[in-house]
Amino acid sequence: MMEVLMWLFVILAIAGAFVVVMHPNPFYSALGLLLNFVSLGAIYMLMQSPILSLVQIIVYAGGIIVFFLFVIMLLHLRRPLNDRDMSLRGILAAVLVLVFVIVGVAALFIYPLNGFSYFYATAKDLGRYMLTEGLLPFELSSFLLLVGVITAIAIVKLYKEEKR
Amino acid sequence: MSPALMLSVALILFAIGLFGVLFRRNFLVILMSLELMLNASNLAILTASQMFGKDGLQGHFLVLMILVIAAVEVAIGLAIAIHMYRTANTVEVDALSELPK
Repeated sequence: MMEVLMWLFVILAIAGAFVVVMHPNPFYSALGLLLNFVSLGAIYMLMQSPILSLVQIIVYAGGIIVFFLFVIMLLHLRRPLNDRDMSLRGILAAVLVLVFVIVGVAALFIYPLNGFSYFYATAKDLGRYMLTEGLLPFELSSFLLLVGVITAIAIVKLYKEEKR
Repeated sequence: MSPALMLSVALILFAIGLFGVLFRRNFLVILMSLELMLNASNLAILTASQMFGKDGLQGHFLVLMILVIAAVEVAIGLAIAIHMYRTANTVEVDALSELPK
């Protein structure tokens, strides 16, 4: 049962990724991204990591997707913008990525790996790790968020000053 | 599912994201492809950390940190997209080559 669900969500995640890359309309690309994020959240849940699954659904599917859809609507990009690059550059990109996948998958199956030994990480475990051993990266990430907010405001102000 | 299969899935998702960055010219879709690549790396890190039992908790923490970085990246990227649309009136990256050829 778990195996079947895992395969189902893996296929859904890859299908969502394909929609993002191939659909000419960015609105549907964002919806494909939503499918990808939700399936990845389900995969995390099946891989015994409920806290990451919830964070994935809340932050990505609930926050970032809404952000993307909001900007697409704000910029009136709902009509298709024929931007898919069918020239030599596009073909070269496809060949490069195909070689990357083949070499990578071959390397993964040649090298012997251990099996899974799952650890059911709850919010308590992760929170304790975050406030003891991982304290410095945790504080630095809050600083990074602050820098992100200031940068976003600065970029908007840049436009207003250019306009004057 | 074995770890090798899960890592292959992460590799395929990463490759699709990379293809999107190289193939599309729409700035918003390029940002979405970058998100795909970050998510694929999250899946790979979680798979690797679930191979090591309780020691793998560091991997869970690393996934959370990557999530923060992705959120900041999207916030700044979309601010740049809006600024690009206001100044150049398009979100196609090829329209932004302002250096003389």
